[in-house]
Amino acid sequence: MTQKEILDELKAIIVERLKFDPRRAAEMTLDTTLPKGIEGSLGLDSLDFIELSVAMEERFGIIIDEGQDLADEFRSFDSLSRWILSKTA
Amino acid sequence: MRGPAIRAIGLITGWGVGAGAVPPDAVAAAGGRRVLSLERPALDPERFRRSPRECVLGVAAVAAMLEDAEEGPEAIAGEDTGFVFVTAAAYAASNRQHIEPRGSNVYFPYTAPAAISGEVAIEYGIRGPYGILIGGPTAGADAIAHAAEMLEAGTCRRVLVLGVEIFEECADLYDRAGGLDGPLVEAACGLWLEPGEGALTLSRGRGRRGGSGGARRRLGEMLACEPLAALALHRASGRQGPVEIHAAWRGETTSLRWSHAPYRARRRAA
Amino acid sequence: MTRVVVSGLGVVSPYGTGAKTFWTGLASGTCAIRPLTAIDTEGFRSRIGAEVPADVLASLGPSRRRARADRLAMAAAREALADADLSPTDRACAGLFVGAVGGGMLEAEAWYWEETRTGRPSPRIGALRAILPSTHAETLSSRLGLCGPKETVVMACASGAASLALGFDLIRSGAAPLALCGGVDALTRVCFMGFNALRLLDLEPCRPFDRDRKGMSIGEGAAFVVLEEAGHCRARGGRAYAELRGAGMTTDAHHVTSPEPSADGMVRAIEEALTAAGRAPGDVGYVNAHGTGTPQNDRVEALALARVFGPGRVLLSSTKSLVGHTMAAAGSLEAVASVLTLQHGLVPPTANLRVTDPEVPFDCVPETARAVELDAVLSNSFGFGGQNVSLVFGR
Repeated sequence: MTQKEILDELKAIIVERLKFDPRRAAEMTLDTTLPKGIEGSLGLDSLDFIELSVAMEERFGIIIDEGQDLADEFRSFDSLSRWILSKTA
Repeated sequence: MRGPAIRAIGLITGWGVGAGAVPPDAVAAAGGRRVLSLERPALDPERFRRSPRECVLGVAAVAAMLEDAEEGPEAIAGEDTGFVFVTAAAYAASNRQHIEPRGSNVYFPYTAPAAISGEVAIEYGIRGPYGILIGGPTAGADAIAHAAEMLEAGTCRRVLVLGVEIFEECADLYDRAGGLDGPLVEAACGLWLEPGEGALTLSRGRGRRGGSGGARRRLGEMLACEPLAALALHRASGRQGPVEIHAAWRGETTSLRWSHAPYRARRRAA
Repeated sequence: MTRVVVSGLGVVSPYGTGAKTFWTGLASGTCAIRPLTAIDTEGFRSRIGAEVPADVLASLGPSRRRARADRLAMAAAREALADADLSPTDRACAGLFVGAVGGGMLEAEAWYWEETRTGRPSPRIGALRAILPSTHAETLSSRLGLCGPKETVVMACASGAASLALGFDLIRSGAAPLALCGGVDALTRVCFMGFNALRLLDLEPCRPFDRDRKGMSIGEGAAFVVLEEAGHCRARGGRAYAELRGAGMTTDAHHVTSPEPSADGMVRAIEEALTAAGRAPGDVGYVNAHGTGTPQNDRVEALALARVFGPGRVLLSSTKSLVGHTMAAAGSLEAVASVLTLQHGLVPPTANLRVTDPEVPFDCVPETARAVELDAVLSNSFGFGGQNVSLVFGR
């Protein structure tokens, strides 16, 4: 998969599983930040990140180690999609 | 106990907004419909994207209550606002979604009635003493009595009593159980109570539901919201003097009696 | 000021039936968390919990039509009323406060799944009889002759404790001289699935306050206490185990599951309970903690306790390390544990605690119960949605 394809899949997850509006998702880019507490981010909280993790495991066939600190990887769609690329390579 | 004053009421029902939307006869107005549903309110879709319909209705009822009070949300924020939430079945649909293999289990917290009051408390910053009661109309009356006790004990300066009922999941089951006198009418009602004058008594007994009596003849079946909505109707009637709200559910009866009309004067009519 | 005593105890726990059996298990530090058999756990991350053993459930009497949670509640309530030695007249004026969440959902789940699979409602509508948590109160009041005010409290993990707080208020208001208060929850697939999905369950038995804790363990049970106005108890020759001195209830208004990180809501609940009890923090020798074993709860609860008592100034331990998180029953089971702690002068241990988290600056009584003379005990219950209840018991 390319990074763009992964971004499209992540945007689909944001709509289907995290219940964002599709029009909002269409505006999201690789630069879009995710966690609550960052100005202009999607404002995802702990419940959202669990749901996102579960959806990513299903969609990309990866395993996310719960013990690992992935705060940096989950910061933006860019960092997240690069991380998924590295796990699926 | 001292009778609390009712500063404001926000009522949203399957009939429409406010007491003025409630028909004179629920069965006639329903025209054969078993359930009068409420649309999901159009609040901030991103803030409430995860919240099921019943949570958003709770938030909207409190917004309607604030509009009735002509106050902003800052008027009820903080530690000196108590909160009593009451419902019979508002969380049923969310539970069904999690039992069946669709939707996600991560939204499991929303299966609890606490999610409804939780979303309201978060939205309005309500941090005072807190309670959640489950049951039919008698639980609604109990919730009002609890609020009065909280004010009398001085644990808070005002209390929000919120009832929410939705019936998208359980209409069939209530039909089969029987004992309903009219259509199921979805509702969300917020009462703002504060210290008042006069006395409030709560008496409990045992007895059967007396047919489509009193407010229920107009409201339809609103379960825990019934006593709260009945107060909205009574206020709209303009009647002075003592107020009596009766409730009955599964062999139990509850009567709330204020020694005089508890409503704070409003600058404009309902 | 009206004084409220605890005059009867009743428990069904993963150890078995009876308050005595419960105390024996706690005092010995026996962990009741093991692979679950009552529900199918195939495919789940965590497959353990603390269930009421099948032979114990069978001993509670005929079962075909009654929900599992109803049977647990009935047995515990019966024991509490018998323990208090209440006459039929006393029962007739007793209030009833039941903390519950799942209700008869274990039986209802099967009904819904069958309907989903077949596309038709099952005729076995009896499976839904106890689906609403308020049916426990209806069953108990009618079967046990309790005719006073009756309410069902559904406040997640704080339900059991909230039932006692509301019973306390009722008696102090003079509306009734006594009340049966407690909580019940049976295992359900919904709850087990949900907590697994939230990644809140440890794959091993939970380790509250441990540096390496990974989450909670689910349990089930029921516990009821008889709360009674002290003069009324004395006049009828009743026995008082302890006094319920104060209760505090607050809300975080922060998040539907996570506690507010500054611990403000928890602190206020604890301080309100102490103020209502007329006690200073220094009077409390032991805290029966909410102590779920999740990284967040234990950290924030420890912060709350440090703010109120000062680091190291009070002992604490977690009953949930021994019998799991019994949901709506937790607050009332832990109330019983707190009362028996006072009575026996013995603090039950925190099981599975190997290395205390440095962020928990307290002696958490690891593995072995400890004899301590106590005057007052605090019991905390902090539910999903930021619902905080604290109770203060005294001798």
